[in-house]
Amino acid sequence: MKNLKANPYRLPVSQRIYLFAILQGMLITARHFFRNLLNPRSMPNIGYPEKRRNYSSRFRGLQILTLKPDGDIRCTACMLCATACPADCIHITAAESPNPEVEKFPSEFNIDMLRCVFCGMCEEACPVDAIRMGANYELANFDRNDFIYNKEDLLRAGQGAVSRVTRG
Amino acid sequence: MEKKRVKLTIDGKEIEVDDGISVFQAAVVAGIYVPHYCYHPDLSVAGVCRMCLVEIDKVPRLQISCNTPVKEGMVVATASQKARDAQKGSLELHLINHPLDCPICDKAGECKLQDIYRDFGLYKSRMEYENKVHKPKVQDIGTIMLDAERCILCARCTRFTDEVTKTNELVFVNRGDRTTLKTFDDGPLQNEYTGNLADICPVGALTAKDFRFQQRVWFLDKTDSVCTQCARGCNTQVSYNPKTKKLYRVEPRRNVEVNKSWICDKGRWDYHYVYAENRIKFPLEGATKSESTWHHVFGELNARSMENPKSILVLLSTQLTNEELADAKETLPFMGITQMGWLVDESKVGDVEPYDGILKHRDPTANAAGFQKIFEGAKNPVLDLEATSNLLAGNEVTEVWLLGLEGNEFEWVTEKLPGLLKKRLVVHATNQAPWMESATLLLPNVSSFEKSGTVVNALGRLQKVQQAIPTAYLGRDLHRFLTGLREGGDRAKIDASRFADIFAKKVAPVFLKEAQTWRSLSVMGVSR
Amino acid sequence: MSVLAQERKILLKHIAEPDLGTLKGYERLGGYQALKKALTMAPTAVIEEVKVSGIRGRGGAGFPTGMKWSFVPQNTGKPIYLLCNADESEPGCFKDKLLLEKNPFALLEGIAIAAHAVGSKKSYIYIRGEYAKAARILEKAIAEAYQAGYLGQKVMGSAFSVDLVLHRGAGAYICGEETGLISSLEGKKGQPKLKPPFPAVSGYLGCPTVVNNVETLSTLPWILQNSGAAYAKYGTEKSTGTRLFCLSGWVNKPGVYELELGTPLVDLIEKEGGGMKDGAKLKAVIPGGSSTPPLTAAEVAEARLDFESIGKFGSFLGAGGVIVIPEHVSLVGILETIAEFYWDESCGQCTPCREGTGWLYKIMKMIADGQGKKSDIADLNKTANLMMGTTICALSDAAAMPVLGFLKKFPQEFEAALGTPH
Repeated sequence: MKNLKANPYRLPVSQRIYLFAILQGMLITARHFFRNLLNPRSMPNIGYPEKRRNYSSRFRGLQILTLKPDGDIRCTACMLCATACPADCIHITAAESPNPEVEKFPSEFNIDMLRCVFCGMCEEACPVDAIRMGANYELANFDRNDFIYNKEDLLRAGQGAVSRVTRG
Repeated sequence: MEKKRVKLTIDGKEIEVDDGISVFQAAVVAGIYVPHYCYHPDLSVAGVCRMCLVEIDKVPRLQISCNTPVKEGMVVATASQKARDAQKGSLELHLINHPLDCPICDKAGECKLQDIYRDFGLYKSRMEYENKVHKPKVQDIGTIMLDAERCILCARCTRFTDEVTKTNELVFVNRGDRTTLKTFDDGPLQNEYTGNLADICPVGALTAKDFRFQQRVWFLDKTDSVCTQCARGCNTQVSYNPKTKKLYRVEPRRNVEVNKSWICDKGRWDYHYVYAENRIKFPLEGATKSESTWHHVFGELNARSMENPKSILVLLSTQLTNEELADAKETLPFMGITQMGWLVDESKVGDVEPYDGILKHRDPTANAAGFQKIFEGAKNPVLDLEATSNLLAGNEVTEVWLLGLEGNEFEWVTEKLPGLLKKRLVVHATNQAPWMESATLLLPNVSSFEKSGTVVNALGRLQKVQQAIPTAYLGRDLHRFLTGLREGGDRAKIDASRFADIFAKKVAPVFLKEAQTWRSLSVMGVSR
Repeated sequence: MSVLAQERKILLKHIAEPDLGTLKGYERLGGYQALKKALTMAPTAVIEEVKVSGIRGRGGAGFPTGMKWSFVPQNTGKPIYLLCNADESEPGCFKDKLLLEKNPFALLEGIAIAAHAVGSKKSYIYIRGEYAKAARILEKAIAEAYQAGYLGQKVMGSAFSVDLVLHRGAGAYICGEETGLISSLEGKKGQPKLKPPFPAVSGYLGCPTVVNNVETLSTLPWILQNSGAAYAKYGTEKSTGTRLFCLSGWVNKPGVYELELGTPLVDLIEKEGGGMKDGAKLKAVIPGGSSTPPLTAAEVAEARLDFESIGKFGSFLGAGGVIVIPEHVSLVGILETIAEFYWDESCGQCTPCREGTGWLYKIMKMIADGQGKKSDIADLNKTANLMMGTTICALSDAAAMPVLGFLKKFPQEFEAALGTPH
């Protein structure tokens, strides 16, 4: 610790009075102010949350659950997503479906978004296109428990998206 | 009589086997896997799946190995090009009308169709037609769900109900590719071994309702153990999920000497008492059953035994393992308690043969035979039920400790021992029953799935119970309970005490001719 | 003008006699002399006589009858059963029907002789369910034979006794297979049984059992009366005797004809059958019932009706059902019908047959409906090959062989059919 003394380097006077630097900075600010004022389109910032950036369709955000054409949940509770998940964040409880046409459905489908690493393995493992990585990145909550997204949350996030797998 | 032996070569491996067995069985001896669906070691040969086709030298046509007897000098190829092609062909034909619902099929992960396809199938499907044969799916036939469409008609289940239970509930109706598995007259299954149907079904046609949709099988680990639901001691495999640390399934483990490949439905599905509502979770004290601690219990019981050990009668359940009993045999007299009795419905003990001719014994406890052997020639002989009853009728005994109760089948106690409820009771049990209401101390026991030890079945076979799941709640097996009493609740000493030491020192010498350690004892058990 | 002179015929010599079907008429025409003779002989001598005759089973497999009998173990303490297979179900075959309806006593006499030879005290005739008329005639004949002492206790005053029961099947092709027949007779689902054990050792109810065809058994009286050597003079060296051929299809005179084995196939069609109807051109002949591969017109010209000659052309004599197909009839339609038959009749026990017959039928139906694809021909071939020789009984082979045979011998016709409805 003995080497840690006062900085031997001293700034020249011109810089020590800061006047020139302040003026320089003000100029840049002013230039941008006027440019944006006159031509708002070139502005790099966006007016979040009123405006939102368009992400690529491959963006991996909050998972969504899809539906069958008849409006039922597509997921068959095969648990392949839970098996593939490296973060162990998907928890499914399977049950006998009340619909006589369907054998098995998820009575519970919870994803712990605090554990999720957004790797997309669940989407890849799904044999029926029931789970997809959605576009939602606004994952903020006040309570840790609120980060556990249940079946209803994920279906709502899906906004009625229909699975591409229609058979079976 | 010495059996004739024959030499033959399978896949270049020369082996010598008993005469009269099939080529398939010889391959098993040689450690060679021959694909199969309909063959089952404990059922008759059906020879219908045509998967075990093998090439035999000097025989022009491929032969099914399960029905071809071995001959001296036979040369067999199980995986030659010709044999593999035929096996692959049979597999393809099995699959053309099989539904593609692996994601919802509970058998997925342990399905023989999947296994063999991954082994050497791997062909591209030629079946482009939509007009598959459809058969009734999801059918409730009692304890089992039947999906006739997934059925590959291997006839294992029909042979099981014909040959093992002899109840003939399952039949094939129609012919050709319309052949459908059904229960007779569409009625429910009516035998007490239905769970085995789900085990022997190589596909997902028969699935047990109890396990249905509970877990995907690849999440489960298995522990070899022994069923403790009756005196038969069927060998089992207990499946549990290491993440949830819960028990999901009990399956039979093949042991020709004890249970072949079967287990009764009671042994299979009665494990639910482990998670039942009435499970005793903590030591409970007094009439209000207020929550207590083991430390307090040890102090209390030690004080009572020191005060007047002659007033205490200890009844030990025959559900306890040999290790626990051996410990009790030494510890209790050491504490001054000399009055010990056994807690078992004597009218049911002693049968060597199962009452239904298959597996079920009347005695619902696992270790009556071991109990007798452990206490043979003890200084203070254990009291039988009659002596206990007489003792309870008198006034010398004021306090009774009932130790090692497991499950819900102890209702008979109050009936056979009428004086019991008038005494001060200490009950060490897994599940609470109404008659335990009057107990001053209710102590949590562990189930057989949560402890290890040895038991002796009605056939006199010493077998290993192995712990499958961690102890739930604050349960303590009798050994750890007694160690606590001895050591005054010293936690470190309780944890250091090991049942394996008791086995090696006190149990093995009683039952076995040569010295054995816990590890060296085979999971198949040892017959005396 | 028949190819085989009327007086040299063995089975159909007296077939036109109106009273052949009555016991009196049968006796008048020399009936029951053979049984009388056989009862004076030792059983082993009867078996020897049949061995000398060289007669091979007429049910389709062509296994030497004398040999079959000699496999039956004596002194096992179990009863021995003789079963007569009258479940004639092969499409294209109707010879047993003729024998049962016109000459029932020859069969009953043959059964008594065979029962004496193998030491059976109880025999069954398993008759096809659809043969109601034949069953009525047989029932009457059995009652008459009992009354006359040709069946029952102390047959013809000898120490030999035999009981005969007529059992009507419920209509399944597979019950014509000997172990399927045994299962059905036992009251189980008509499904073939695994071999080994063979029926000769453990058959009906687990006892030694012999199963013989109607035609085989009906021939026995003649063999016993005229000696096995006389019978062996008929036919060729390896295929001795005469046979009934059921001629059907596009010929002028379809019917049952008795011919010496080894007779040219052309003789059957031209001389007995009176040639092709309307002078049509011959395209193919199915020589032994629907399960046998066809012969092309060129092969028909060369073929002789014996096991070996037909075998040279990759087909079988089977149960003698000769089906003549003219040029203008589509083989695609025929094969579709055959495939449908086997799909319907498979018992469903073995996987290759159960699934394979269904698959073959589905593909054939697509081709016949004009929705065939190029890959279908290869699929048919591959699937049929998977079914060959991989099942318990021969039904799988029976379904696969015509498919393979038709595709091999008439590939152009099937390729042409792809994409055009029939």
